[in-house]
Amino acid sequence: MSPVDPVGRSAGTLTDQARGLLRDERVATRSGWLQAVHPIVKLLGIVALIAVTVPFDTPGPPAAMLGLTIGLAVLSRVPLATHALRTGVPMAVSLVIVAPQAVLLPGAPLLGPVTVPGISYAATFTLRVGASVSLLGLLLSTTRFASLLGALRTLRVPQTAVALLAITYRHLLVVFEELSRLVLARRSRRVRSATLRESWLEAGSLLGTFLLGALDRGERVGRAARSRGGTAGRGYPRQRAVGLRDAAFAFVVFATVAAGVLWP
Amino acid sequence: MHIPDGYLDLWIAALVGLASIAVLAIAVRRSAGALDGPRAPLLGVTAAAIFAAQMLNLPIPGGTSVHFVGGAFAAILLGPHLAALAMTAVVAIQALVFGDGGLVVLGGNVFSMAVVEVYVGYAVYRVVRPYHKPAAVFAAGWAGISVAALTAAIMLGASEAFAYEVTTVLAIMGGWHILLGIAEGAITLLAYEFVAETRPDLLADRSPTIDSRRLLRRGTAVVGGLVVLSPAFAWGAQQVNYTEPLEHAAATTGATAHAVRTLPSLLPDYGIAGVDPYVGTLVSGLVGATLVLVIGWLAGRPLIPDSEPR
Amino acid sequence: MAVNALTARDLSFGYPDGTAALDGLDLTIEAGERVAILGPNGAGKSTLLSLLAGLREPAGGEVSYFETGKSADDLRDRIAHCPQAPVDYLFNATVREDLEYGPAQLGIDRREAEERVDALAAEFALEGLLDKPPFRLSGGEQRRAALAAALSVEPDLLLLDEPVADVDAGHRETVLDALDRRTEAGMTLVVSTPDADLVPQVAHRVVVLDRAGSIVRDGPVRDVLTDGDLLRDVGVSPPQLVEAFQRAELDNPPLTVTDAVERLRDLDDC
Ligand SMILES: Nc1ncnc2c1ncn2[C@@H]1O[C@H](COP(=O)(O)OP(=O)(O)O)[C@@H](O)[C@H]1O
Ligand SMILES: [Mg+2]
Repeated sequence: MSPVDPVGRSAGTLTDQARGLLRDERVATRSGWLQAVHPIVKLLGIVALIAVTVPFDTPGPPAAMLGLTIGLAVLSRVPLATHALRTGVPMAVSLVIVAPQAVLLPGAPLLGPVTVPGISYAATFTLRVGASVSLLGLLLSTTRFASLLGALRTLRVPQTAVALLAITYRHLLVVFEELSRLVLARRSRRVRSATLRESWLEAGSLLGTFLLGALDRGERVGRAARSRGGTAGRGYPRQRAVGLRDAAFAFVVFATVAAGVLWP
Repeated sequence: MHIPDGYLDLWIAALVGLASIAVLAIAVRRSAGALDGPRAPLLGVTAAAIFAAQMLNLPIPGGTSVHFVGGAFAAILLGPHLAALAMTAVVAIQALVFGDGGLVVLGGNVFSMAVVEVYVGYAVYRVVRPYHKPAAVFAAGWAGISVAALTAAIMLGASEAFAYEVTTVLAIMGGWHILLGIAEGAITLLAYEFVAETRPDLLADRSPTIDSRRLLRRGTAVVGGLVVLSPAFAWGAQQVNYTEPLEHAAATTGATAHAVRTLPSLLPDYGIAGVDPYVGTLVSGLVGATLVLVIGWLAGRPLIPDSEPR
Repeated sequence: MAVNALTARDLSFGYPDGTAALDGLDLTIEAGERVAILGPNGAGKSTLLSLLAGLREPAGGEVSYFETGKSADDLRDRIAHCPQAPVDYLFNATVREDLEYGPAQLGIDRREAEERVDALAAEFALEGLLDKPPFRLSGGEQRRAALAAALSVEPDLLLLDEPVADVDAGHRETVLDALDRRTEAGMTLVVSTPDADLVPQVAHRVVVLDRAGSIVRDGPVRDVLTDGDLLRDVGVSPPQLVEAFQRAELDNPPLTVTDAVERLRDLDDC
């Protein structure tokens, strides 16, 4: 088993993803501001904040929004290092992608070939992406997926769609574990590192086995759901009163959106 | 290919989102009834599995790795409508749980990865299958990915928020994904061969609702329409994008062509001398696509497992 | 005269890969009966139970319930089926949601559902596990949770596939007692198992399937289980007590430990 072998490395990727999922679920149960906000208010609020951030073409407002998200993260006891990583990586990638525009956009030169509009565009773009990703990250790390689904249901997203998402989510960890077990089992039987061709042939039958297993499992789960009354996805809503923290969050969203719309 | 928030203009995200909803509504209707009964769990579990399968890294020469995407494979296994729904679940969960791809642009990501990839992959599969089955499977995987990437590139290029021109984005993203598509085609074919050997009943013809000649005509019409429209998109985007004078676009494209030349691309310039640049892009795109298809076909053949017992 | 809870006529089923699991099977079960389906691995017990629960379409034949002429899907509040692999049965985010799932689908009032969940959690020792995701439970815990979930709709007919396969001795009693209480109250019970020792504890009547999925014997537990040759023929070991008494050439072998103790005392007294 060779340590750099990509197929073998997949087991690690799977474990990492599963770990991230569980960490988010843990953070979502901490007591903090956003965790206490009703999922519908939170979902709509975050969508509104992203929508108001995206159209700006100067760096100031997105930067302010990014600052606001950091404040929200602190008040919601979201682990800052993780949040920074989650936001920073897409920002860095975006910066690399739009960096050539710093030279390409015509305008007053700033330094060498770099122009003022160019650098302003690159900064705006990166901050815009950063603020949006940070907002989405806040939503994800302060909301249990089950309550997000509840919110979608209340917002009249079709039952079937919600049931589909619920079952997909419910089986993520199960299939992650299954696939990494399969990968490790195959790898552990290999004595020397695989050639390119072997890796591919192996991955092909691995994928086939795995997806067939998933289809079978899906059928079994389908029969179980049928025997228990179907997948109409009815559930007993966990009612929660709308309180001060909801009002506070709604106010923040409202004020920010108003400021964004009225921005000169 | 997961586009984050902040890359697309809101109106484009909204428009494409509506298109996705329309297509998915048709998919739900076409798979009539199949979804309320035991199919929702079947799709959910399959979606989760495709998500996991996307984390399977495969080595490619040069020390890096690619990963499986699965839209075309799902289409072959489940039929296009159910596959579109399963891939939608995958893309939605990726955004709503893992933050892969944005929230406001979710509709756009669903459009490229769950709608375009699946239906294009399936159409290619159905059209080529009567002639050569493995080639059809390979081509489905390759075309699904490539056209999905082209769709994403057009959305990005048409967005004012993303300062690059459609042609530039198409050349870079399209070029790269047309190469990645070879890997997708190959792995789709390998997985297919495995399923065909162990569970042929799953791949048995499920009384097609549409014959392949009609599909060919429709597919040609759609693809032709898109191909014809893509320069119009580019032109339109430039007309809208008055912050950037037209002559400047040439500089942009020039700079990009330089960057592209470092990729092992087939037509380094993405243009043909003496021909209008838009037509040139179009023609070279088509030629490149055909070449890649042929190379992929040849390259894919030795990968088909020998029928020795495993 | 009691109504029939279940009537299967000329039932056949084959899997898409060509495996013929059942061929022309007839079975009638009266309301309130406790029936065991006994057979070796691969005999078709699980297939039969899922067909009896209306979860697969038979290739031929039909099943009717409670002499109503209604399909199983219209009777999901009266018929429950618990499959062999509980992990596929529990597909909700938490054990509590799984216990509530059936009642919620059937439109049962929320207060009522909560009472049922609390009672079932106490009965099956699940109190500490209600907020855990089901697939993080141990095998035996999953089995109990699945059984509790099946019982949450308070069915009139319960089809159980190998219900105590990985349950420890203590909880086995819990499960068997719970089933006793339900059948005393009139529930019809059908249990599949490859283990003849379990049969006397759950059933009065036993149906023996052979490897080909045909019924080779159907009768009172005592009659069937004491026929060691028949059982060995189909690939099932006879109950250990029966085996012991028969080897000692004692007639009328006991089926339960209590009976056996009595018999041994009698022997001692002689
Ligand atoms: N999903 C399936 N596809 C094909 N064959 C199957 C499937 N499930 C079970 N079988 C086959 O059907 C027969 C009966 O299986 P099953 O009902 O599970 O037996 P039992 O529960 O008595 O052990 C076996 O030969 C088994 O291999
Ligand atoms: Mg079984």
